[in-house]
Amino acid sequence: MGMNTDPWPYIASAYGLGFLAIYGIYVLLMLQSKKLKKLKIIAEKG
Amino acid sequence: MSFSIWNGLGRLLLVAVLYLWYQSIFVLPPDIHQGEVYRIIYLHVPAAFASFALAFGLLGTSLYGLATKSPGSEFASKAVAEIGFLFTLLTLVTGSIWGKPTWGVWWTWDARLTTTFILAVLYAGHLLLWSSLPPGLGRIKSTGILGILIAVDVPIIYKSVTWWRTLHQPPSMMREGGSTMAPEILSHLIVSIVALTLVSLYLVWRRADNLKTEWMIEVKTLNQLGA
Amino acid sequence: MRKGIKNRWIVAGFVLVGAITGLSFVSMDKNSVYFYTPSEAKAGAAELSSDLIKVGGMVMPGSVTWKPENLSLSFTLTDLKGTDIRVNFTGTPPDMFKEGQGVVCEGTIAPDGTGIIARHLLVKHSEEYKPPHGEGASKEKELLEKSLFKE
Repeated sequence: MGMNTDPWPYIASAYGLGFLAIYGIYVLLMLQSKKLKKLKIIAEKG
Repeated sequence: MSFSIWNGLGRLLLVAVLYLWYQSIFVLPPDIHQGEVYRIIYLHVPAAFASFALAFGLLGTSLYGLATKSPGSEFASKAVAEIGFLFTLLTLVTGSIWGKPTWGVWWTWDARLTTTFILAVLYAGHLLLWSSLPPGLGRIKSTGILGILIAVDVPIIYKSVTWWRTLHQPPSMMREGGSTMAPEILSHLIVSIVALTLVSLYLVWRRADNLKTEWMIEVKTLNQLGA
Repeated sequence: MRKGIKNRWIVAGFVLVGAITGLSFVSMDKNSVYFYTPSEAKAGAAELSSDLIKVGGMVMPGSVTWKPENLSLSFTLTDLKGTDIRVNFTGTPPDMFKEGQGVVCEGTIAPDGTGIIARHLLVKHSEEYKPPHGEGASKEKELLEKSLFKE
């Protein structure tokens, strides 16, 4: 009885958000590392 | 082992998780009761375990900080709390997305969901406190208390479905009488849990390293300005 | 204290208080059970009839009547031990609703405990996961019975 909801939009949103959260944070961390590497060199030069 | 070897392993794990997700969505069979939508389990449960593992990691860094007053422990605690918070949010959101087509609701205040929500609030509290206070003993102590509360909440979350009547189903893995999961589902879930938890540790490690570098740069710059 | 830091302290304080309040809601006190069993609901029906309550049980096989024209659903909620309550609901039930399924009905109970008018139906499914053509009999009924009617 009632409709049979299509599961795939739910599956896609869940994994899509997981991807954005985990791989997004990874990308942000890599960008941060790059920036800090440059700043470290500048700071050490004085 | 050197930085670049650990880093390489971390990146390999990130790729491995993508492959595990591919298998979760396209290769594993559907469930006899829930059909296709159960596949969210291969993300939801690993995210939950990762957030629990990080909660115990936070307990470790908090206690270490309280014992040694080391500034390094503060960076470790912040990194663990940030990634722990991320994975707790991911658990709540993927759980909600799974709940709508199965239970029929996006949310309910049963013991499992409520205690997990509290975990997210506690993590957020830790992050707020850390940002509001200057480095040192005061911050180590107050964030340390939250670290302990977080670690206390986790076993409550885990046992909530056993101790109370809940909408959320009881455990399917660690239970008397053995698992209620078919072998292929169980083994894929276990591998996914291990992989995602290791990924979370990799993210913590990179974040803590960045925080430390950021602090070193600040100190050097201030010294130069001061001198 | 500087204003920015003071505000953060306040927010952090609220967060902590909120967390502790929440934890105390999920107490072992009987008054805050998530749902009543059919026998608990029937026994307390007179006092509970003025409240919005949740009652959990199993959908008795053969008891379901569904009229799609006016979205009218009725079925018997059972505890498999002889206590049954008739439930009426208007609307489309969740996809997993079926005979033999666990369900938590949120609604009002008649003072004599004979019927529930449900505003919401929440499916409480078991923790069994297996492929459609897997080996072995399903433990669904046994698992549901255990987790629905504990305490």
